[in-house]
Amino acid sequence: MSTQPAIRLTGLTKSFGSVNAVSGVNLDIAPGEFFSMLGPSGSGKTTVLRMIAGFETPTSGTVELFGKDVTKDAPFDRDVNTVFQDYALFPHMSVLENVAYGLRVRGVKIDARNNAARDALALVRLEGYGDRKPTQLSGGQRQRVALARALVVEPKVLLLDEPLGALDLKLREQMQVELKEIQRRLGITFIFVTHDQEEALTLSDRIAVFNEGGIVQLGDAEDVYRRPQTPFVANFVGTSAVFTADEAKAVLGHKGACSIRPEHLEIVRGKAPAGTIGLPGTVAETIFLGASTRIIVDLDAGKRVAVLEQNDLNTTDTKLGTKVTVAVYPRFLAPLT
Amino acid sequence: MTTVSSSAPDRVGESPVRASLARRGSVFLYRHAKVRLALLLSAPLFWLGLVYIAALVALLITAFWTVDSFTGEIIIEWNITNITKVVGDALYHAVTLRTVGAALLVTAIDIVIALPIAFFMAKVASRGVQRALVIAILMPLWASYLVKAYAWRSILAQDGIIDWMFGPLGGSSPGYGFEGAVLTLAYLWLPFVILPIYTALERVPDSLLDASSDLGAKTGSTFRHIVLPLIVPGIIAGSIFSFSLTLGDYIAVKIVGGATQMLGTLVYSNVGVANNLPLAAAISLIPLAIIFVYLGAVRRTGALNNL
Ligand SMILES: Nc1ncnc2c1ncn2[C@@H]1O[C@H](COP(=O)(O)OP(=O)(O)OP(=O)(O)O)[C@@H](O)[C@H]1O
Ligand SMILES: [Mg+2]
Repeated sequence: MSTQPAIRLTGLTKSFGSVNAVSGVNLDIAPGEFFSMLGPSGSGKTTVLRMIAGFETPTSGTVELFGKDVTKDAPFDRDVNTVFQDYALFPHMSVLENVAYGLRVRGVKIDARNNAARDALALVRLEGYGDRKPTQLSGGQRQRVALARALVVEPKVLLLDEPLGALDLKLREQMQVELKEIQRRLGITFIFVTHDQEEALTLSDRIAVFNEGGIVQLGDAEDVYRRPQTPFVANFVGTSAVFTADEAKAVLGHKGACSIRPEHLEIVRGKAPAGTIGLPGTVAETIFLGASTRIIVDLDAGKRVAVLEQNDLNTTDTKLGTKVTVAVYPRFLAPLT
Repeated sequence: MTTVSSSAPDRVGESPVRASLARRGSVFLYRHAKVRLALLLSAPLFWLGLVYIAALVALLITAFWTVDSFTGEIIIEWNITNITKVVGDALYHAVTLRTVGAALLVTAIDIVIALPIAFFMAKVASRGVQRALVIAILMPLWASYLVKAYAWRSILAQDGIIDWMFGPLGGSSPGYGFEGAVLTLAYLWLPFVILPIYTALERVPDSLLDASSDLGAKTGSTFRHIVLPLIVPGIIAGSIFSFSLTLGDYIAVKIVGGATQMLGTLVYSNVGVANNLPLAAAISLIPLAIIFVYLGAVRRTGALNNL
């Protein structure tokens, strides 16, 4: 039982006319996993989510929930619930009625369902807001109501489509922490769609990076960040200097295409430390980021790389046009396939 | 990339702002919201006040006059004989009940037909089909009312289309009478009921329907708990059309209603045949009163608060 995936997608494909929104997605998601789908706009994340929820029928392929093929089942027959990007709260109902709705249509008596709804509101720290109308809430509060409404029916899998997209940065960070806490406490599977790579990295047990309707890399946060397998992932999840096989050979004396993160490069004056590859170059631009500075260096070998330098106590000022050496630690070079 | 270039578009050469008369006028209007409002509203208020309200008041006043039964001249003298006659006479009771019954029936038929059509248009059909349907629904409005009423006369006629279609199944046309009038009126006002319901449905986001079924509601529950409450204002707007238009109609009733008497036909015959304008005015106060009661009831239910 425990080895059975919460969700199994097999050859999942969806075309809208001539547009292939999703093509051939295979994926197993374990019970209790916090799983993120990360990808640029139009890469098919929402479409995959909608097929799991049952709002779209796949052109081909199957969706299984805990071993049961639900590809043809209606949304109301599936044990998954969705938190919509626009929250989709019912405007004519109070917050409490919104949250209790899932129980109401299951025929739960009014007292029982209101109690359950109050508990769910407490879970998202909205006690006492039950009598308000959705329009009388802030964006973050609406978000929580949507979450409580989906959780009150105790789904085994919760689908969240960019749930934090409309919130400002502070609120987003706060909600991230809360989401993670709730997920851990309830132990249910979260499938979280986002195009914010930082969000995906901080929250997820595993991440699927989407591009053009397919999964281009699957792994935990460290895998995806440390060992991007394609130039696309190397630059969509964080940024990297990407070297083609030829460039790697010419510039680094390294075999095969690879990428490296800006924070794994170092600016040194004079000779590069032992065990590193020293690349001479000229500072082309410096971007002050607060705790760190991003330094763009034009290498003499004809390539431009970004270096991230921490602004700690012994930082030296790096002026435009300064001749510097960029030290590359070979063990941080991530091979690309 | 390295230097901060001053590549802001060169707008210095553009013509300086001219302090023309029109501009000063605009500035004045911008600063004086009340003047702006007065200018905007004066024409419609003139129309509403003078033409519409005045006509209603004239009607009300006329109802208190009488007609000399011998000469047919209007006697301008205040009395309430018309009113008491209309309120007390069994004939008017019967006709009023029949008319209200017809209006309710027409409204009910139209809503029942309009709901699925409007739902299909707003939520199921593709863009192209949707546009085609809107045109198809508006099309009958381009044809003359009389043409449509006479078309129904031939549909309802003995050996007409209805007899021809349902005859083999043992059915037959209701003929000219109350039923025929209700059918014809339901047809005539259907577009006025479909369109507001369609507009209301358009404004219900699809994600609400998705959310409802996601939370476990079957299609019926979603309709009852989510769609219906949200489109009640549209349904009421439509029902106001079909209800009040039916209350006042007399032409269709004359054409397909046979001998059926409705408030409209009573007014008509009192203005024309009987030449009793004051009594006609008194009769026409009945539908007016009913509409006010209806609007009041609608308001009381709070159905319009969700607008
Ligand atoms: N109902 C539809 N009809 C036609 N094309 C659609 C439909 N829904 C999605 N698409 C197309 O499918 C592709 C994938 O869309 P999808 O919404 O899944 O992207 P996404 O990854 O969720 O993007 P975003 O981050 O912008 O939400 C896009 O090219 C989109 O235009
Ligand atoms: Mg999306």
